[in-house]
Amino acid sequence: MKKEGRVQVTLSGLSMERLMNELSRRGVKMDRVKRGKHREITAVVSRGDESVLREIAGEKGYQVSKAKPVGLLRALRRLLDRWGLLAGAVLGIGLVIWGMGFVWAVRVENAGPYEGEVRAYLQELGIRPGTPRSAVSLDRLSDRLEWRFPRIKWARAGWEGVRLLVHLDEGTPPPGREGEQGSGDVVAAEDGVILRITTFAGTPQAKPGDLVRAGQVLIKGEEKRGNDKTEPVLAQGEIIARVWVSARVRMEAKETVSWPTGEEAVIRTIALPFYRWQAGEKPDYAAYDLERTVLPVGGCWVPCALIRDRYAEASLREEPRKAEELRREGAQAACLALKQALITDEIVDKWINFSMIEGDSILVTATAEVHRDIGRRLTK
Amino acid sequence: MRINQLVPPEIVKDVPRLTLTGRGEVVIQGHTGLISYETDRIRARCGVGVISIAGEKLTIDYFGAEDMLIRGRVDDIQISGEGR
Repeated sequence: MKKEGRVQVTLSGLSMERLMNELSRRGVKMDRVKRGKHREITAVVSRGDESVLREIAGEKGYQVSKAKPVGLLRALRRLLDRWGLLAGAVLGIGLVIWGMGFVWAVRVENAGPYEGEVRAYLQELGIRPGTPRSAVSLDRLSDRLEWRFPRIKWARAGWEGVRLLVHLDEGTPPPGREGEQGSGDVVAAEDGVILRITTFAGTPQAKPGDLVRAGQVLIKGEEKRGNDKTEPVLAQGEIIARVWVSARVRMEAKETVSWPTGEEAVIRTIALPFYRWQAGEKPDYAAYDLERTVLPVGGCWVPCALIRDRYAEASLREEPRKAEELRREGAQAACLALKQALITDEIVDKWINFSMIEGDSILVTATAEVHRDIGRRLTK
Repeated sequence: MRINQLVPPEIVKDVPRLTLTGRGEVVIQGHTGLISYETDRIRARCGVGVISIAGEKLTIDYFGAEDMLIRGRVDDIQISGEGR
């Protein structure tokens, strides 16, 4: 039977090279050959070659140490030497797996005043700590709880690890019963086209596709009880509609531009922290462009600056702005205003209109379509 | 006898082949025996003479009948003498 695995041996004797040559001639392959002390080497060979190695070494008078397994075989051998640890680990894992097949605890959530009754009922059904999990059908348990306790609207049973969790929701009266605020309708807060209407309480007065105006009643605060009777309720619902929001910006179509006349004057000033000395008088141009150059001299130890002011006389006149630039700036401004108005809404569609007013300005209108809930309650 | 030109010459003419990878690995194919093995010098016999590999921390990662793989820091490779 071929032996698997590899072992490490230590060979000692004179002329290790001769032994290695002989071993290789006889078909023994060695790995990880390392020179240890002067007349000693360690090498890794297969278990199958170990016996051949020992035989040859014995013939030639070399000593061979006890073989040590390497690799996986070594790990396995170590594990088998500690068989108690291995057995304990297997037993422990087995116990845990077996233990997970039972109910260790029962937790009842949100039962309110019914908790005691629910727990007693679970005991009646035989569901308690120690019950096998296979004996508990979650769907059947949920159904039985809902049947046994009519005021419970919804019961859900599930597993939290080894704990059985029973979550209950008590039935509540329909929302919209006449409460502190009295009955009330839901009206439209703004104009729009209805996309969908979900009524929680009350009677809907509109349907998807209807164009509604601000103030129009969308859900009436009453419900039918029986054939003829109606009961006032506080209407509740969600009405999602297509709404259009606009933002307008006015842009001047002309701008003031200055043209130099050719006249100019230069004034120089020496500025110290508490004193200024100016050479020359400021010119009395009606309109001018000012170019100022400040040259600090002396550094931070001598805070002195040389200021050179160049006044260039200019004539001002109005010129029309370039149409393309005007439209672009207007569109950006209108979009920014729109965005600020619709911080929480998602824009479905958007477009921009331009119109000229009074020859000197343009009006830029950015319009966006959003979908949002337009219902607002109006209490009577 | 006509030599097949597609057969590697070291097989037909029985000459060794040395493959040096960087400075850390040397493969000798076609050796005819180990002469000496120390951690700073390994000498092996081959068809063209004696191959001497000098370096530091030399180990023989594989030693077979005709091939050996040497690892470590290789500083010098010399071939001397006549064939076997």
